[in-house]
Amino acid sequence: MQEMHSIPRIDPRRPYIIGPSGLKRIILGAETGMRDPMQVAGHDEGKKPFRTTAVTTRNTLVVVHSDRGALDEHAKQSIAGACLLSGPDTAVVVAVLGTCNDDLAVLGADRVVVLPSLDVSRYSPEATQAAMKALWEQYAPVRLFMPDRGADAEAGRRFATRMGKTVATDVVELNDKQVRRWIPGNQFAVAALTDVVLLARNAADTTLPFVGKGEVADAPALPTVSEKIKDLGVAASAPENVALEEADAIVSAGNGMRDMDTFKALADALGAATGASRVAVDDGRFPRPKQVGATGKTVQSSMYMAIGISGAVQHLQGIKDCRHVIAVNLDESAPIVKRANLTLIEDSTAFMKALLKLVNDAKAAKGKE
Amino acid sequence: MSTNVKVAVLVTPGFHPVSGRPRPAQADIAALALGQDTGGKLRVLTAGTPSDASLDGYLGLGAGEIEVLGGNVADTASVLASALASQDLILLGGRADGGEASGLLPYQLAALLDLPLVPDALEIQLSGKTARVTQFMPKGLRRQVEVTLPAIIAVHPRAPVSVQYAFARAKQGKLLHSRTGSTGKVASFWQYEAATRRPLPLKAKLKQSGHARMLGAIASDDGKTGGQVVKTGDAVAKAQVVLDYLREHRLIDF
Ligand SMILES: Cc1cc2nc3c(=O)[nH]c(=O)nc-3n(C[C@H](O)[C@H](O)[C@H](O)COP(=O)(O)OP(=O)(O)OC[C@H]3O[C@@H](n4cnc5c(N)ncnc54)[C@H](O)[C@@H]3O)c2cc1C
Ligand SMILES: Nc1ncnc2c1ncn2[C@@H]1O[C@H](COP(=O)(O)O)[C@@H](O)[C@H]1O
Repeated sequence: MQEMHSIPRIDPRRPYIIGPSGLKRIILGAETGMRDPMQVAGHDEGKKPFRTTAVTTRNTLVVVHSDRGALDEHAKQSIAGACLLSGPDTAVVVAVLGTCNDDLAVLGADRVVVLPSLDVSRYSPEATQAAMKALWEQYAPVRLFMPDRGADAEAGRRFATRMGKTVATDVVELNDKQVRRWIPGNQFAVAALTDVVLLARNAADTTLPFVGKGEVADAPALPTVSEKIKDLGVAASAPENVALEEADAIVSAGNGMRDMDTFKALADALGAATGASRVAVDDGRFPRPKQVGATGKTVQSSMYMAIGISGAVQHLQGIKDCRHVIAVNLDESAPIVKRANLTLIEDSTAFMKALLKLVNDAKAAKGKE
Repeated sequence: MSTNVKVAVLVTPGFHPVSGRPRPAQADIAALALGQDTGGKLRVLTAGTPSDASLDGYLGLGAGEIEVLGGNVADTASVLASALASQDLILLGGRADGGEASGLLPYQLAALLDLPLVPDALEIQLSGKTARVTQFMPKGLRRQVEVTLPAIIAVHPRAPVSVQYAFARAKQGKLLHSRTGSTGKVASFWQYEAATRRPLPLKAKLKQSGHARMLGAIASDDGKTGGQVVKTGDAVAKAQVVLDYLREHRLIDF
């Protein structure tokens, strides 16, 4: 029996303290410190370190167009890709064409240049090229990264071909040596890293363990250039004529939405296209092309309002790429609540009537101004 | 419509993505259709060494004759540029269906010929020497632009196509082969290999604490907890929350 006592035992619930360097066990036997169930979930979150603290001598350039002051996921992925392929001696310079309300330091940008005059809403290919040339000359970057979509795809291609830079478009995979494209015939095309890299969607992951310095730099002086192509303006086609995959705003109805008239009126008032869950389509309330989800359409609207939709996985698959999901449901435990950015626990009919009235009032007030 | 405009349409053999059977490329069909609508004098060209079967689709859509510029496939842009020197309007697809499909050729031609390029065209109206083009933009937006000829217009695959394939036209159509440049294979910048796996996204190596990794392994739904949930207040109050949300994120402009 005497022997047993000499075996050192460690109390699994022995006290601990949380200091700046994380969780710290107190020396055995000490009585201070906590004994509660460990609340360590956030103990090493807090501030992320800078990607590099060294003096940078080189630059990587990222050029992206913003959409109404925000960068989309694809643009953020391009910045992340640039950060992950830049060494400690290389700064990541991000030039935003259009206004920018996002904090780019958390996305990894060390230097931020904003050129609000080159917004996508005005077509100015020559001015964009002049700006990119000026940026290239000012920062002499090792490499230029851009997302391969919309206005950036055009600007990147124009730039590379005009300046005689090597370019890889639609890059699905990249590392510090190679870029990889997928080409028809189920083949990969592989080449050494090019001067200009246009990234396909999801080629880089935006979760980064570091932040950038986010210093704001002045935009380079832009020469006045004459455009060869005259911009006569942008028009939105009527939401009902727009393919659902293309729509920027969608109001969608499920089994819990029973008031078709208010629904249609609300969609019109918001200038949104309409969609539906499979149950609502099977019921005959919506035509088949309106179905959103695994067996329907995959949509990528900025706003997706799900009214009376439970949010089954097959439905959620279709709205993966939507930026702002707003759910209206009576059931707080419906799976859509987890996906939604904003959920209202309310009866669909009462909610739609209330929102329709508010929207119409707001429009009337705006008209009077 | 103006009949004295010299229009050239560039086409490429396309392939069905799954079966691999030759078929015309969607954007090139649209370019051909828009070219026919202009009513100008039409030339249809392709560069490289395509099989006859892969061009049959374009003949059936009314291409009439297709000039096949055989030869050096590695430098398509300069082969085409020299053949296109005196055209008023050059129409092509925004992106090919086969080959590199990099969507670079329109830009290379614009740089070589020093012509303005309008990408993403859906509709074209010619009046005299100006072309008014409706451009595709994402999110249901359309832009109108105007350009003075000569110009290059790259057509978006969503452009409406009015023509239909007719077997008789395909039989009547002709392929005019000509040789330009060398046929010697030029080493490409790209290396090709079979795509036997999915591409891997570039990811940061995360240095996580053991506790965080364990949480990651046991938590389902990627730890997603959802956004704001509003339960209190009447329907009007909740509608107001939505309106504020839409305004805050600039999703509405009233
Ligand atoms: C192979 C397969 C493929 C599928 N593909 C698709 C697809 O592509 N798209 C798709 O949508 N589905 C698809 N489904 C069906 C999917 O699994 C669900 O059954 C469907 O999405 C449910 O539709 P719902 O949310 O409208 O209906 P329900 O599941 O009945 O949900 C109705 C919701 O409305 C709420 N509600 C009820 N009354 C009210 C009220 N008065 N006010 C507010 N809220 C209210 C309820 O709380 C509930 O959450 C597929 C299924 C299978 C098996
Ligand atoms: N070899 C070629 N001959 C003729 N036209 C071509 C050729 N390659 C590409 N094009 C045209 O250029 C467009 C874009 O091609 P790409 O840059 O290869 O994606 C295509 O849709 C065609 O209209």
